[in-house]
Amino acid sequence: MLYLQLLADGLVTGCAIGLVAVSFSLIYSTTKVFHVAHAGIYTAGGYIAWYAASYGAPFTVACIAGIIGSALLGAVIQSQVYQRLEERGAQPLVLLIASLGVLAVLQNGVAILFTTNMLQFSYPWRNQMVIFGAVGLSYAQVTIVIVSIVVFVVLTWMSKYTLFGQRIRAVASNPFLAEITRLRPKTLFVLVMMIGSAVVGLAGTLIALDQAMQPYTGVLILLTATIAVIAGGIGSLTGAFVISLALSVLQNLSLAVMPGRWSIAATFALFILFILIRPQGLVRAAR
Amino acid sequence: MKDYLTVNKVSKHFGGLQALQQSTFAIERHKTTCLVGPNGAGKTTLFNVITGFEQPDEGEIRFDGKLLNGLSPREVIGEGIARTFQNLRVFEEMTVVDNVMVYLNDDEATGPLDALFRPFHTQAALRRKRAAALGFLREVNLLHKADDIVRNLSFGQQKLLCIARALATGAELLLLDEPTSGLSQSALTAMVETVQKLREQGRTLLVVEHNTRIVRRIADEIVFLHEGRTMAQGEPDKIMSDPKLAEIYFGGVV
Amino acid sequence: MSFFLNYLIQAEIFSVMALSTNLLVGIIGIFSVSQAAIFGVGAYTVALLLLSKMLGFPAAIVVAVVLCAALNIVLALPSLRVAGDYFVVTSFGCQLVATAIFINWSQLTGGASGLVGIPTPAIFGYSTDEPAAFACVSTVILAISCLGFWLLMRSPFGRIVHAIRQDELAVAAAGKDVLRAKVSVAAVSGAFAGMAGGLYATYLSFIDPTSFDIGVSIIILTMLVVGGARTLAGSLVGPFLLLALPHGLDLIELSPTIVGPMRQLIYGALLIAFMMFRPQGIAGQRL
Repeated sequence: MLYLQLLADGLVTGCAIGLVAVSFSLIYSTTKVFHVAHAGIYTAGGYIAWYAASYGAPFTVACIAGIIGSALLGAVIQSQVYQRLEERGAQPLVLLIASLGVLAVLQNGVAILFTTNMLQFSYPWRNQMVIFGAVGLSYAQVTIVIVSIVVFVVLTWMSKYTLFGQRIRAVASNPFLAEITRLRPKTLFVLVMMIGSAVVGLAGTLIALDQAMQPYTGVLILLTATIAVIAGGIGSLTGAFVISLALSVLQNLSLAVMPGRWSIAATFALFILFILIRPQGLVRAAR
Repeated sequence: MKDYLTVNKVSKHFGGLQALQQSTFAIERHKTTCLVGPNGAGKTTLFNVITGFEQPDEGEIRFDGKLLNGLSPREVIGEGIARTFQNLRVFEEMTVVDNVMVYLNDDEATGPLDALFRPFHTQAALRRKRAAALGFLREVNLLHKADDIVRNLSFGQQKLLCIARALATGAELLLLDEPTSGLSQSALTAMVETVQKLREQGRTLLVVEHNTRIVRRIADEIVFLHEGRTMAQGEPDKIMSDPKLAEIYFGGVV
Repeated sequence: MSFFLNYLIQAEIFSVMALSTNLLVGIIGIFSVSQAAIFGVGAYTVALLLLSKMLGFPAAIVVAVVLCAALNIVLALPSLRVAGDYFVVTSFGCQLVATAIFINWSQLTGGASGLVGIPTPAIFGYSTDEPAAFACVSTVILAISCLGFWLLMRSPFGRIVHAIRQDELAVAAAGKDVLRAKVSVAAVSGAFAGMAGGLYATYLSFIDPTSFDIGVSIIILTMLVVGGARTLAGSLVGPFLLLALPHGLDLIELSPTIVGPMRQLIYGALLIAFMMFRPQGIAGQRL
């Protein structure tokens, strides 16, 4: 059954895109920076993991390498670029352009080091299949679903029930107040960036595991993810994740009716439609 | 006329904070009404609600009989109400006269097509607008600063610029949000002189003002706001000597 | 001589693009990565009209100008009506979708192979096959663009637009239609891009999707940032300077596969550096 398979594949990829969306949402709602370089960290994370794997590391180790590398990149970007600019009172536009510069450096750095050819993980177990009735999923895909859902649940739990999560939400809702009380946004921002970058680097590794890697595909993924964040209501992690699943499923199902290369156009058309009709979000933001 | 601007049972809340609670008052044309009350009483919120920057949760605001609820800031200007901001919101990188020109109520040659395809006509219109803007600067005694960049002006001069901008809109009703706050003595004198001049011209003013001496000098009527409620409205002498209100405002009689 | 003329023509084309981007990013303060997409629409439009022999060059340029202006209006309107960061997503979406269309709508655009054999402009019967003759056309178009930019900036409209960048709320409080002003600027920006695109197509006589992808948007943005925003001079300095860069790179021994990404990496680094240390560029005003 083609449609069920497409649906399943869409849900799988949607889980990983959901991680991209959730991590972006976390960073954006806290630091208020539209961190387009997130796509660059997505890419770099995957390549770092691949690099480790190419030296024979098992997948878990490679993943961790990717996560750590991504977190470090995020920390550097936040402390050396965004924070310095904020301290100088830079306009949001300036931060956006700087972020774009970081994205270009990351993507092209990867392209220089690893060439622009498609790269894949060479684990033999990647493509072994698990059959669920009419639908078949590879081990890689199952890994994606399990890891994504676990990470999503952990992030949501962290946001709602831990002191750290409450501090994040407090800073997000009132940055000025946070500054003059003792919530220490600077450190918080770096931590949030590290967590967000770790998660998106993981997402990049996961999708690379299932499919393949190229230096410049991060932006496409980020576009879908940011549409999900906005449609889900900024500040709602669940909204971002759920809409990511929905968009990914839609993109996959559209493969049945149009060539795959048009699916991004379909997603974007949905976005334009969305901001015309209900720009405040489809899911109420979590309080 | 007594009901030039009427605020009728207007409430507004932000999250858990009730900024305005059933505020009700009316102001008279050609008179100066001062809005007084302790900090946080809701005075700026009231301005925001009247001028369309916020929408009230309930209640009605009418100007010369016309309902203002739901109008955008642009539409409110169109109805003839202009305001100044407590934090000025001047265009710092532009010249003083350009600041006034942006506020000028003159839509001739303001589009890109005019600029591109009718350059001579546009330049003629520009000269005309500049002359009009200079006129408003003269009214607030800022003519000598016309081509200075606003960033280089003193705070007091920037506040006078805000008045000039409000005048340039051609509005019938001027809402002045703390025009004298933060001013040095000389700047204060200049500002009060300007406000008195506006009063002599018969303009209708609604002024948020903390300084009681200035209130006594310029107010025809006072509206006392506290915790979002209008506690009292009436003549300055009566309100200012009311011990209950003085208690709220100062903890003692003025 | 021909080498210098070719450099001049390219620099002039990209100067028109820099002016186009300057209007959006420098004057209004909207972040844009879709300049290459509109550039491409202009290029493909003129190319197709000339190849089909339907119209001559002057008429084709007019069509491109109108089309690109209209396209920018259509894209700007929904996103500018809502919150500021939505335009970032729209801009990315527009760029990525445009690239997808350029690559996939093969019947129209020639797909990944592009369009070949685009004739040089014939102006009033004069051929412009010679670089010197073409340079006259490009110089005239640049001059028109500069004049347009200059007229716009010293007009009442220009003042409103400058004010919008500094304090949009205060402009609304002045009774001016902020949305209409922003959309107007987007339209003029599109018009400039249409002209530049038409020049580019006829200059190269061959266009393909890679000339109009997001990397090119970044190049154009870098030209604006390096040259300096908001001023006429900045939009000329940037392109002329940065187009000399590849020749500098040629002096260093680099493998051909690395040259492209290396250039892009340098542009990214320039964006970061200028935003952090010299936001006014060489000859512009602070972003």
